[in-house]
Amino acid sequence: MEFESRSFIGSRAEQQDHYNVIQDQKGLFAVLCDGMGGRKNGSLAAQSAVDIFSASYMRRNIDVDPKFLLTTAERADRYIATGIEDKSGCTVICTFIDADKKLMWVSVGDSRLYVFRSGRLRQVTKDHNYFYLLNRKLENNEINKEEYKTAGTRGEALISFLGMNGFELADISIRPLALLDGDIVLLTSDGLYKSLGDADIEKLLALHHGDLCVCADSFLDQVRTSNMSSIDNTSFILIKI
Amino acid sequence: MKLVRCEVNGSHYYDAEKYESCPHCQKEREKKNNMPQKIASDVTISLFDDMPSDNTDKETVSLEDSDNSLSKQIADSSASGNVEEIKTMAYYDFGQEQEPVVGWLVAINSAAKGKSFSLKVGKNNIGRSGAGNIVDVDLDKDVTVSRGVQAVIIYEPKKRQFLLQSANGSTLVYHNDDLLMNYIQINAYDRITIGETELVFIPFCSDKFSWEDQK
Repeated sequence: MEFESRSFIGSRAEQQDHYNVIQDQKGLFAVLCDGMGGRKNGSLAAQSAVDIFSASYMRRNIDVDPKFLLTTAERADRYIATGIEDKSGCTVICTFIDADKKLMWVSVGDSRLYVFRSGRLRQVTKDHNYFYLLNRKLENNEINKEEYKTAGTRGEALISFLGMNGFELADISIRPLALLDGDIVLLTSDGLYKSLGDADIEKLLALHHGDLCVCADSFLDQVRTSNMSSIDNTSFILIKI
Repeated sequence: MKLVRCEVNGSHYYDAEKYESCPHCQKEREKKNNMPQKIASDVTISLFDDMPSDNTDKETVSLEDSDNSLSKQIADSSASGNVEEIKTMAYYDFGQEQEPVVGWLVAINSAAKGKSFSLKVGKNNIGRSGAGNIVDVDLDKDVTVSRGVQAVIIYEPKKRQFLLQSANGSTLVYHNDDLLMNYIQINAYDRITIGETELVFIPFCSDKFSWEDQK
């Protein structure tokens, strides 16, 4: 397994994305958190969550399973809610790939996990934002398309994140996902997929999957040269099996 | 750089300023040409799959197949939603071949008479499998039960309660001879009738026992 990671501040005053990767005999552990800009201390929240996840993983004799991943997310949530001044919050996407190439994950918020295989990109996690609720309501015919459209202006606002002191929504692997040689796992904050879009991410992966370093650089180049008026903090981790 | 999608194989991309035609396809052609003719003619090669060796009976592996299987794998592995719900799913599901039993249904008449069905934590779908439907408690011998889910038994470990819920099936479901319209809490020796089959409910987890007490 090899990995590459990049971080880019974008047009923001502060980098509020934080991440860490630990590779040891057990496997490869990666965690990425995106501090919420709308709240104070977003960066501190994200850094704290990364530290809590990393320290938990480093403890001796732990088995990484869904219980570990969710319990750690809950600990980070409580810490941010009670231990950091002002209301702050962050997202988390955390993955563990064991020595048998089995992938496990937990996600709270709108940072994403993707798997790239055979030229195709697949989004694994859902975004826990207002759209999540609106889509459900639309499916259940609780709202019509017009109401969906009106409410959709606030669609990207998070409805679940670390720091709520009891987050409501999460994504988790209930069974490990078996990866194949050549698969690429991507953990990313919203900066990347909002600047590039899934189609461009897929294109660049298809073009550069042979060289992870070149691939990571090409992501950043595309984000830098995207024509968006404001570019969000962008951080991502690429792991190749 | 001019990114172009390969016309031959829709999944390839290449830099049109560097290559006249798709270099990935070229590589695959070269690879194929080096293979024994017999295999090269009937095996479609996926981008990352190893070439099949000498086993010509192997199923054809196409790009589309491997892709679909990944989507299915992801769907099978992931849970998204309310934290308490996914906890129930994850903690009991993960790495366990045999899920701990929380209760049983025993058929007391018709074709399944004498048969017991184990219930697990969370939702247990009751109905008849087939035609693309998979259910947990499969009344496969009772043709008066429509295919698909007809009712759901939920074991909720926090309050250690069992609930019987109607599903969108077209077969009527009765609880102690009353038509089930919504959901109802069920107790030991309650009778559930679906089609011609009558089932008796026997709880294992209760005030007296819980798997969580054993941890």
